[in-house]
Parts: sequence; structure tokens; C-alpha cells
Amino acid sequence: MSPFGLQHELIRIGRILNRWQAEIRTVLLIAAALASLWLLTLSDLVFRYQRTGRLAAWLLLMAGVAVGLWYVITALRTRRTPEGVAARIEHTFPKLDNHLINTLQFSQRTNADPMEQQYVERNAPDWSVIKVPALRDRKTQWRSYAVLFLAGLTLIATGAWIGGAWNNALVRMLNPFSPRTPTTLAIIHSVTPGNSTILKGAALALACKVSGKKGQIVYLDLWPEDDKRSVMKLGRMTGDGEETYAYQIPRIATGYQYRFRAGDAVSERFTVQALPPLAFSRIEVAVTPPTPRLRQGSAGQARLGGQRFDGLTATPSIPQDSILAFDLKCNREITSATVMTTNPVSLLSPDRGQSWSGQVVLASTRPLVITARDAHGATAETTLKIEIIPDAAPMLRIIAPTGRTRLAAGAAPRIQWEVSDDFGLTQVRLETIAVQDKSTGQDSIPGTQVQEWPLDGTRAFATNWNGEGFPFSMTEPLAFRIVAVDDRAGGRNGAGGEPNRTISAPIIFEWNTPKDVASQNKAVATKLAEAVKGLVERQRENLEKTTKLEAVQQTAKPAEWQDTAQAQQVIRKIAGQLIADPKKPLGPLTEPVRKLYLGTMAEVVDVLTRVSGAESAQKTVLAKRAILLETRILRVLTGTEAGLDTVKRNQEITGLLGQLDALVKGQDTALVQTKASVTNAVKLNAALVDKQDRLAGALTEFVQACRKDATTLTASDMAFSKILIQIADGCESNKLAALMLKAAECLQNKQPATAIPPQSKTLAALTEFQKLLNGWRIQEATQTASDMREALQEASKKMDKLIELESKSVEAMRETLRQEDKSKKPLDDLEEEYVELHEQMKDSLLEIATDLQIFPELPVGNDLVEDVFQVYEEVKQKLGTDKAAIQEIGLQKEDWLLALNDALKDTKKRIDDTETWLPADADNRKALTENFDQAEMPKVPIIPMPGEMEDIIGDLAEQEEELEKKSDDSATNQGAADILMGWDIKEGEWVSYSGKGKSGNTRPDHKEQDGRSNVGRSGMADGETSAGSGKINAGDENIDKRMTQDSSQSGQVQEDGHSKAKATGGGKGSGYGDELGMAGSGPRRDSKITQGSELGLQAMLKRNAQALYARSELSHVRTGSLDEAIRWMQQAEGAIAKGYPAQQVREFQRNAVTALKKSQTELGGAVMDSADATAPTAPPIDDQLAGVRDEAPSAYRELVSEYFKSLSSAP
Amino acid sequence: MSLYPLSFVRRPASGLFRHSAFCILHSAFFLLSASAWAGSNLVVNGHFSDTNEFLHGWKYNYEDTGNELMAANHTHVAVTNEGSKNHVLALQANKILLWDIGQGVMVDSDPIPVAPGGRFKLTISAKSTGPNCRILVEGYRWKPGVKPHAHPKLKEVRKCYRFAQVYFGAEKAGTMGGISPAMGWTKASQTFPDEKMTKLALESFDKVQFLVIHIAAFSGTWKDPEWVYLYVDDVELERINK
Repeated sequence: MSPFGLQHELIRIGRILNRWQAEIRTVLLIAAALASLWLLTLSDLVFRYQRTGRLAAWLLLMAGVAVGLWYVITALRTRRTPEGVAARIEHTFPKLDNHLINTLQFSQRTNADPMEQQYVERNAPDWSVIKVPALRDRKTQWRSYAVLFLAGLTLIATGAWIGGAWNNALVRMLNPFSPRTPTTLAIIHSVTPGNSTILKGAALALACKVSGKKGQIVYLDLWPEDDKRSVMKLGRMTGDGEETYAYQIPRIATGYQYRFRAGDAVSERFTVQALPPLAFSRIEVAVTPPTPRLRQGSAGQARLGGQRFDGLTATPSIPQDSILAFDLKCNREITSATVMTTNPVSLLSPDRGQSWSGQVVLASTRPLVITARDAHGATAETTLKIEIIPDAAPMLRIIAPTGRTRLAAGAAPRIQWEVSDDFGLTQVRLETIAVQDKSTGQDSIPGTQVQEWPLDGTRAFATNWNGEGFPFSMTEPLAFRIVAVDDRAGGRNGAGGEPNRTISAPIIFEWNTPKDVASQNKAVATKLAEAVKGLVERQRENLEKTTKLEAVQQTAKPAEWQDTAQAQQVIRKIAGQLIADPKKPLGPLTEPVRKLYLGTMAEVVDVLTRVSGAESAQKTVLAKRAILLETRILRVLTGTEAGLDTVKRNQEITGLLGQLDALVKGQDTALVQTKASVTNAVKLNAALVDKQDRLAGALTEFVQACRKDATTLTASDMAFSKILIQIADGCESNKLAALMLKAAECLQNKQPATAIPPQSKTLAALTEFQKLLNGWRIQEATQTASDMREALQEASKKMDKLIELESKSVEAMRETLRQEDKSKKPLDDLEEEYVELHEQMKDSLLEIATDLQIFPELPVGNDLVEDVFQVYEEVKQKLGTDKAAIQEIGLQKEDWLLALNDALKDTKKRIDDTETWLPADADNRKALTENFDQAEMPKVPIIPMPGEMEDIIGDLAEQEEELEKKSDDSATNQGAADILMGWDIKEGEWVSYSGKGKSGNTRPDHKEQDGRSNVGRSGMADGETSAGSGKINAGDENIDKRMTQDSSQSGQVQEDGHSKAKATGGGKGSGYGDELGMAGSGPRRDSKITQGSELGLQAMLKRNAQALYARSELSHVRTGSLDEAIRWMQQAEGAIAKGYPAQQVREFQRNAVTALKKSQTELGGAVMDSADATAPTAPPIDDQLAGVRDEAPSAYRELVSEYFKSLSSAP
Repeated sequence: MSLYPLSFVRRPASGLFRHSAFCILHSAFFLLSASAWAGSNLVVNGHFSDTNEFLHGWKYNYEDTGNELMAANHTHVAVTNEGSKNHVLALQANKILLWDIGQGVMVDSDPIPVAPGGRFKLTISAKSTGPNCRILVEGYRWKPGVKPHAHPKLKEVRKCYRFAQVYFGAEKAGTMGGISPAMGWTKASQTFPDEKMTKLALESFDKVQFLVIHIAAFSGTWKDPEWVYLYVDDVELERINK
């Protein structure tokens, strides 16, 4: 064999060897796989793998097989060299020696030596001896097959021994994806609800259906997401077919995993996902108000609550008919969303359920309900918290006239009214209607339009119609009504509906002839005189009766007292009717009677009612009080009766002057209109002719009135009577009435130019008469004012004298008490010692003056401790200390106090205190201190106050009165900003500005003392209080008027209680308490605040109105309802001062404005008598007001006020 | 003399023992509270025998008040053995404490909740080597802004009443208790409030929600540089009306 053939043969043999090796490895791999399968199958029988376990095992098996295959492949791919194969052959066949390998190696050499060449050239080794199969490792082959056999046998034998379960497990292991369950004694057929989703808070029922051998236990394994695993034992199987076991979780709060175990059967692990309840996470609502309102600009928008709001939290007010655009989102994806108004409106989602939007028109006032639903069937529902502002009808208020009105002949009707609407007005009309027309509301019969005021959405409108240009008859009654229409148009946002319309009640005017007026006035005057006279008589009679009952009060029957009370009630009722009469028959006397009605008359009824049921002691007090009050009423009523004539006279004079003023004004207007009509014929109308005609009639009436009043006033006012006669004569001699009629005829004949001369002549004459009367007016007013001034000055002097006398008496009494009567002389000798006493008083005054010099200027902390709490201490007073002698000690001024103040100036730190308690003995020490000169005293530093302070108080220690007075210390100015306090609480010899003072159990000394303290007991201290609130307890009972400088500081103190103290000492610039303080006589101190307050402004307005009223009354100028306006202003001022709710103040002010407007209408034009007194709708005394402030908590006062207001305004 | 907390007095308890003692103490506290109407002692640790916690039921550290004068008060308070008596309260003082500044040394019991309208009797034993004393019961109520709860501390309540103090001497009046070194261990009591209360007193008494026993050493005599002591034991407070 050639060397090349040899090499090729060796390579072939090498491949054969590789195949044999691969065969062995393959056999071993199969055996290993079978063994592994046996092991896994066996373990599945034991462990009953779940899907995961099976898959893991299978993957492990497959990995092993893969490794084995790779190992087999590597055997096949092993590269064997010819030398290696040759060596393997030589090893198997030793006969070859190493001849084969030598031949192989020598043949590969290119430059072999001759020896080697010869060796190669020799014949190849004996190849025939080489049997290739002999190269095979039979032993290893046999062993590997044996292993394979054993593995297969084991697998099969085990299967045969175990049976079906083995095959089941084997298949489960071979196919991990098979749904085949492990073989168990029990079988779980089904589990509900399996993997599911449930809402948090809902109940969850977990159940399984099982079957199997009896006695096996069924368990439920639960893995809450937020807790450790728990196992529930559900029961023991009975073995009777298929059984169901369930477990109920009443309220799902978190997600769960669960599985059931029945004997050796285990279910899969299922998951229950807990969903939170469906909720809205965002509701944005954009509001588009009704179109007409958009015209109102930004102010209107602001009033409507803005363009956009959060529907979950905001509570805006939205006008009806607005468009609401919704944009909402829930805490998870939803499948539908609706808004329920009158019908459900579905919203749309542009992003597959994440957010939803849509819009609705707010057509009704029903609440809007938004509903959302998710894929799981859960729903969320919310009601939009909006206040829907309904479009109300216009509010119409007739300011004047307020009832059926009678006008004097020739007077034109005047109507003043206000209209307002919550959104906007489009039209206001004045119509005339038939007098007998009673129709109202939407069903009213259309009237004849007099005038129309077109409005472009304005919200308020007010006007004063004076009948200008409207022809009317002066004989027939005339009825008007006002119609107001708002802007609720049919097309507003598509909401539909009619505009709101408000129609006033008929406003009726009647004209009386002068004769009728005279007779009516006379009847009214007579009736009034009788009424007042009767009132006086009734009151006098009842006073007598009360006086008699008081004399026999012990035997008087309760019914008799009740009779007097009822009589007083009748008197009050009559007085109420008098002041409620809109004709104001009492004139300026109305106010005193009104005060009587509201105050004394009401009180006396209450007192008389209580007398009968009172105890005897109390009965006496009440009876005397009743007599006092009745006497007061009688006095006022008698004065009113006496003043009636003056009132009547003044009213007549005022009426007469008013008539002349109206004539002048009317003629002047007519002249101007006539002159205008000369150039513009359109202005010459029937109304002007009527007016001129009416003026002629009015002049005739005026002349008659002048003559009549001249006769009646001759006795009381001769000068005025003469003037009236002079005017009447002048009118007749100048033939003014005829001139006026002539002018009217000219106008009627369309000859305005001809009418001008008689008109001018008439006006000139009337103006002269007016001047004449004005001169008298001024003269009389000046005289009256002068008389009043003198009377007031006289009264003022008397008051000054009284005050001086009182002051002197007090000073003398105090000094007398202060001076000890050492002589023990009887009181009768006091007179003889008067001169000496007078000298002592002089000394005393000097002493006081000296005392005033010692006090430095009070340092001001302006600091308040809001939390001052009181501790009461029970004290066991030592026996005999109430009578212990007073020890007098002298104390020098202490320089260390100045050093202490200097040190505290920088630190500003409060000095700590030791424990403090009340002394068990009375104050029996009188300290007489040496005082610093004011120049020595530096400015005392003010140490800040703490947040809370403890006040200690006890019952007053007993001490004899005389000793108590003797123990009074002297006044001192040795002051310390702060000082260590502790031990007994007693009045010391130094002033302290630390505010650490306690109330204690002794009375403060009777002396002036500055410093700083808490509330404490009443005394004559002149310092500053640092307590924000507290109770003033009983202290020094002999408070003298203050002698030192005023020391009120800024800050406000609230008084918690009051123990009949007379003064608090020092204090803050403002404060309030339940009782009044002691009256003072100090100098007037005006406020340093330059900026005006609301109260000041209100007071100023009232004063101005009062002055105007007084001047008008003095000058016989008509005042209309000015007195009413003043009354409301006064009430508004009182309400502001007392801190009543702003709403109530506003109401008073609104009433004042209304009264002023009414006055304007009443005084603005022709003479117009007051409304008919027979039908006053609401007497002024029962005005509909917001309820007065009561004891309700501050947060509810407005509400309570509104409540009472609604009650009082109820029909 | 050794003062608590030296080892011969304090016996550190094992965990089990401590736990048991804690439970027992609390049980005792609740039992005492529940039986208050029955006239039993309302004071927790009135005999100062609770060795598990130093002065359990009493306040002796006033650092929280911010008053610098009282900041070191707790360094002068101890529970000790005095003569034949074991576990008695000792208040240590010198001239500075008693006189110069005079803030004294004091302890207060924890607030004891009481029903309205009660009359009480405070009984106490005391001995002094120098200081005089002020021992009295004070009425407290909840401080504004504190939410009421079951275990109020002194800083959560506010004083509104001081009842009459306990007098050890012959004179049953004055601002001090009247104890003196010559008297040795003396037992005294005080019944309160007064049966005839004034309107002012009644107003304050109606506010009382808790009682606190206040024990303080004030005034008296001293022996500088030695310390002088006020010893107190057997503090008993009982309600005497039903």
C-alpha cells in the first residue's frame, strides 16, 4: 500500500472510530433522558407540579437532552490524525510493532535520508492482520446498552407497578402544555369567579365544585395584596358526588390571589383585581350666560359667577337659560356619560373614553345630575352644586304717591317710581286705566299708553313723571298704572318663554274743589283736636285710677290693675293712629308723641301688667314707676294739645305760602312755554291752555284763602293778617285772575304772542307778593330763632350753675370725709368750723395739685393679653387680723429701681416669678414713700406682655372699715418696668409696669396710682390695662372723679363681668361692657382721627337734614317727608353706633333715601295734598324692618335678622 | 443618706417582672379610678412606694414651664428612706431656695379627674428638718384648645381653684402649713371645699374638672451650708360625699 493509500485508510478508520464513540454517547444520552424522565415523573406524582413547575422540569429535561446531543455531535466531529489512528491500530495489533507509524512518518518527510527511503520503499506492513472491527471497545458498548436497558426497564417497570397515574404524570412531564391534571384522590371541577375584577367595597364569593373520596378537607388559600397569605378551611368532603364549597369576603378592600385545595387536589391560582369605585376626577363647566346679559360687559360676567368653574367643588350662581359646556374625566376609563336636566343628554368622548364633553342649556331650575358608567358596570353620579338664578319679574316700587291721592284744584298729578330687574329691562310704560279696573297681573286689561320709556337692557330705572304735556280733566278721577317688561326674550339661548312683566297697582288721583278742601281741613282739624283732647282725658283719668290703686295696692284686685293696663293700651293705640296718619296732623309735635309711643307708653303697659302678679315689695316699686310714667305721658300729651293751635296756624300759613310759591312757579313755567310757542307752534298744545286755566282757578282759591286766614289769624298774628289782606286786595285790584283767564283764551285761540303781556303782568304782581311774604318769613324766622337761642343760652347757664354747685358739693363732702374729726365735737359745731374747714379745703386742693405733679408721663404699651384666666383661692384668715393696728412705715426712694429699669431697657425680657398666694390677714401697713422728682425718672421701658396671664382672686379679707382707710398708702412714682413677683399678693410701695398684678383679696388703696395691670378690682388707678378681657371685681367703693391726666390708650377691652364697680382705672381707648361707666366731668377730647367714619358721615347727614328741617319749619317752607327721612337717618346712625348688621343699617339708609325722594316729589311741583288718611297701608310705627340684633351668635345674626324681617313683612 | 436613684433603693426589674408590674399598676390605677366614688384613695402612688418609675404619678420637673427659677427643681426632689419609713418624698432646700429668691421646691400630682359637686379630704404625713410647707389641693380644668383625653398631664390643664391648705400646727389659718422640725412626723388633713361658698368661689368651683395635690417647701429655717428637708408620705385623697 502506498503511503498515500495508507494515510487515506487511516482517516477512514478514524471516522469509523468516531461513529462508534457517537453511538455509545447516544445510548448513554437516551439512558440519561429516560432516567431523568423517570425522576421527574416520580416527582410529579409526589409534588403535583403546577404548570410552572412542569414547564421548568420539562425545560430542564430538554436542556439535558440538548447538552447530550451536542456531546454526541462533538464525538462525530472529532478530528483524528493518521498518526493517532496508526497508534490506536498498533496498540490493538501489537504484531505491527511500530512499523506502521514509522512508515507513515518517514513517508511524510520530503528530504528523507536513504535509510528512511528504503524503509518506506519496503512493503507496507501486513495490512491483512488489521481487522477494523477489532478496534471497537466492545466492553464500553455493552455497558452503555446495559445502562440504556436498565433505564428503559426502570421506566416501564415503574409504570407497570404504579399504573395509570404514572402514565398521566409521564405525559404531564413530556408535555408541560397539556391541561392534564395530576392524578389525585379529589378532583376540583370548577372554580368561580376565576380571574375577575370587582369593585372595592363590594362582596366577593369564591366557590369551587369538587368530588372525591370522603374525608378530604377543602381549603381556600388567599393572598391579599396588602397582607400575608391566609388559609381558610371550608369543609370536609362527604364523598357524595360533586360538592360545592364557597367563601364570602363581605367587603373587598384590596386585590387577592386565591386557590382551592381539596385533599391532594390543588386548583390554579386565580387573581381578583379590586377596582376603586368609579368617581369623577374632573368636571369643568364653562358657562355662557344668556345673550342679552353679554351686553353688560365684564361687570355682568363677574356677577354671573365667571366663565368657567370646577363642577366638583365650586358652588356658583348661574342665571337661568345659560349654556353649560361640560368637560369631565373619571378616575378610569368610562363607556358613557350623561347629564340629566329635563331629559338625559349624552356626552361624547373624543379620546376613547378618557374624557367626555358636551353642553346643555339651563332651561329649568331643576338640579343637574351627571352620570358616568364604566366597562365593569360601575356608575358614578354627582349633582352639580350650582345655584340657579331664576329670571325674576321686574321689581316695581312706587315712591310717591303711596295711596289714593286728592289733589287741590289745578294741581297736576306727579308719580315717582323705581324699577329694577335682575338681568335687564326693555320697556317701562305709563298707562291710564279705568278707575274701576281692578285687574292685575298677566290677566290685566290693556290700558291707554301715556308715555313709554324704551330701555336697552339696563337693570334699574327711576323717573319722576310730573304730568307734563298730558291733558287731564280736573273733575273726574284719573287712574294710572306702570308696566315694566324685562329682557327675557323668546330666543334667549333657545330656552324659549315670554318676557317677564310687572304691573303696578292702580295709582288714583282725585281733584277736590276749594270748598271741599276747606271743609275737609276743618273736619280734620276738629277731629284731631277731639282726638288729642280725648287722649289727654283718658290719660288723666287713668293716672288718677293708677294713683288710687297705688294707695290701696295691698287690697287692689288684679283685675283693676289689668283695667289700667288695658286703658293704657287704648291710649297707645290712639296715639299710634295719630302718628301713623300720613297727613301728619300733629306736624312737628309728631316726634315727641312718637318717642312717647315707642318708649314710655310701651313701658307703662308692661309695668301695669306686671303689677298684679308682683310680690308686695316689688308691687310698690312697679306702681310708683307706673305713676311716674303715666305722669310723663300726660305731660307730653297736654303739651301736644296746647301746641295744636300753633301747629294748625303754622300749617295754614305754610300752606298759603306754598300756594303762592306754586302760583309763581306755575306762571313762570307757563310764560316760558308761551314764549317758546311763539316761534314753534307745535309747543302750543292743549296742556298749556289747561295749565293757564288751572292757574287762574288756583289764584282765585289763593285769594279766598288769604281772606279767610286773615280773619282767623287776626288775633294771633296781626302783622301777617294785614299782609294777607294786602295781597288779596292787590290780586283783586290788579285783576290777576281775569288776566290769567285772558291769557288762557289767547292761548286757546292760538295767539301766544297776545297771551304774553297778561302773563308777564300777572307774574310780576305775584312775584311782588312773594317777596312781601318772604320778607315776613325771614323776619319771623329770625325772631323765632333769636328767641330760641336766648332760651337755650339761659338753660345752658342754669346747667352750668348746677354742675358747678354739684362739683363743689362733691369736693366739700369728700374733703369733709377725708379730714379726721379729732376734736370729737358734735356735728352741730361743724358750722362754726366752716371757715377753718374752708382753709383746709384750700390746703387739700393744693395737695391734689402737688400730687398731680409727681406722676411722670405714662409709658404706653398698647399691649393686650387676650388670655387672662382667673384662679380663686380659699383663704383661712388669721383670727384677729381684721382688727390689727395699722403700722405706718416710711420708705425712701430706691435708686436701684432706676438701675433695674435701665437694665431692662435693653433686654426687654420679662422677669420670672415665684409662687404667689393670697395673704391670710388684712392689709395693716401704711407705706409712706418718698417720690422721685420727675426729672430723675427716666422713661420706663415697656416689657412685652405674655400670651396668657394668671389672675388670682379671693373673697375680700375682713377688716374694719376705719382700719381699711387708715392703711391706705401714699401715692408714689417709684416705678419699675418689671420686677420679681411672688409670695403674698399685697399692694406694695412701687408702681409696676409689668402687668403682673392680681385681683387679690384686699381692696385697692384710695389713691391715684399709675402703672400697668390686668383687670382686677375697681380702684382709682390711672394706669394702663393689659388684659384684653376680664371681670371687674368689687374694690374701692369711694371712687372720686379723676384728678390726673387721662390715660386711655389705644386697644379694645371686652368686659366679661361686672361687680357693681364704679371705675376700672386707666384703660383702653375703647371697650364695651354690659353696664355704663361712671360719668366724668373731664375736658372735651375730640378724636384725633381725621379720616371720616361711616358713623360720622351718617351723623353729619342727619344733622344737615335736621338743620334743613328746622330752617324750613321756621320759614314756613313745606318739608314733605323730610321728618321721616330724619327719623330713618337717626335710626341708621344708632344702628351703626351699636354695631348692628350692615344689612340692617342699609335698610334704614334705604328708607331714608326713599323718604327723601318722596319729599322731592311732594315739594317738586304743584301743591299736592297728602294721601288719603283713611287707608294707610303700613303705619310708620310698624315699618317693616330687619329684626333687631339679638343674642344670636355673630355668625347667625344676619340670618336671624332676615328671619324677623320676613316675618314682619308677611301680609 | 442616699437618695434615689441610687442602687440600694432602686431594684432594676427583669423584663417579665417589669411587664407584670406595669400591668398590675395600670390595673390598680383603673381600679382606683373606678372605685373613686367608694371613698378610696384617689392619688396614684400616694405612698411613693412605686419603685419601677421615679415618682410615678407626680410632676417634679418644671423645665417645660420656661420659668428659669424652677428649672432646677427636679434636682432637689428625691424618694428616700427616712428613719423607720421607707420610700418617702424628700424636698431638699437651702436658704436661697427658701428665702433669698424664695421659689421653694415643689411637686404636683398628676391631674385626678373628679365629678362635679364633690367634697374631699386630703390626709398627709410630713416631717421637716427646716422648711415650712404649703400643701393643698388645686382645682384645674382643661386648657383651651386641648382635646380632652383619658390621661391629662399638668401642662394640658389650667388652674382655676386653690382649696384651703393643710395646716400641721395649732393655728388652722395662714399662708403656710405650719410644720416645724420639732414636730417630727405629723399627720394632718384638710376637708374642702368650704361648705358655705361665696358666689365668687362657687363660680370658680363649678369649673373644676381635675384635682392636683400641690406640695411645696417654702420659708422656714435653714442650716447653710447643710441641706434641710421636707419629708412627705402617705398622701391620701378621698371623696367624702356620694
